[in-house]
Amino acid sequence: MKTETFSYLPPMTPDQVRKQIHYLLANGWIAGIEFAPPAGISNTYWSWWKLPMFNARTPEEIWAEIEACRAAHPDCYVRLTAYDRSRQAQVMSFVVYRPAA
Amino acid sequence: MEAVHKAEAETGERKGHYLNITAGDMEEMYRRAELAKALGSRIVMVDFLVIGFTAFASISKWCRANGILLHAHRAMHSVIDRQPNHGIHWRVLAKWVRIVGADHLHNGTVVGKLEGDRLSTIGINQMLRADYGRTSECPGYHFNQPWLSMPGVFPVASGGIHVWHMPELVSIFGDDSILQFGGRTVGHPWGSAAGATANRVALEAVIQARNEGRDLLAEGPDILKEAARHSPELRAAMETWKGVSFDYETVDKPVILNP
Repeated sequence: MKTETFSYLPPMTPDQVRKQIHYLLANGWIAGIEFAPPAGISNTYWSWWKLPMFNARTPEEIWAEIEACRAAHPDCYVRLTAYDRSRQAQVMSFVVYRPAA
Repeated sequence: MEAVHKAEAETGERKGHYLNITAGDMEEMYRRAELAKALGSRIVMVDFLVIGFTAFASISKWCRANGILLHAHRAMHSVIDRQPNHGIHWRVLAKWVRIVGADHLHNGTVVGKLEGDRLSTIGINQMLRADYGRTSECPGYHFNQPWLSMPGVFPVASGGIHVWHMPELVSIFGDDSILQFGGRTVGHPWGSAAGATANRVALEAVIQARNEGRDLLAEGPDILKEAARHSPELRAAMETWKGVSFDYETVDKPVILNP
């Protein structure tokens, strides 16, 4: 399923995802993780995985939560979002895990 | 519209198809706007200078009241802004569009067939989106402009652009912009769908590279070639459009009389 940013590229390696997380943190944005079952991805709103990570400072912390979400919801899509406080908008979002078809 | 709905259902993404409602009089334009809305379109388009100042303000109000996005095409702008001795500069018309209220506005492309001085284009892009337009960040403007949370406008790059331009387009337009590939989508040797895929692969590869900290202007061709390795569509597009450029001096550069 091609949905959201970066879906036309080969799946990112964990290292490539970490680089995107690094960019997110370097911009001062707040990371959030959301998940949705395959039937629900066309909804604008997906379910939150815990709360946005207001206090996360390193890519490792965020990557660990992505892994935890994935382990808890192996049949769901998982996406990473970034919220910019000054623009008061979500400024980045891409799927980091796609369930096996 | 059926194709729009089908694509949305298949991808979970929001798709748009601008229905051009520009018409000779306001009554006809409202009629076309209502039709677009009834068809389920979420966006309409007008040639904002052709319809005129008042008509543009009216259709902007209609769009706001009806929850429809407004795409402003700038056909006829060069008649008004290109003559260096009189007229209205494009940077003024662009600010006016934000004040009246539109969601998308065509701006100079710098690299395509539609020209635009590079710095001036960047300045206008910034002024369309910033909450506080500082002259230091908006080349060409002489006064700071506080926008007081007035909604921004997406600048649109369009006209003669193809996949090889992608690194430069992203560096000029940045996030929150719209890149329209027309002829270089439908002109793909394998058809429109392959052309659209090629454009999207190129865009995503460039965005990924930018976020990783790579220098788009220096490494642009390499980034595209790497992406083409896993995308036959992009490979074919790059082969088709290589060497297609519109390399001429800009004619709307600032002209200083009596220096």
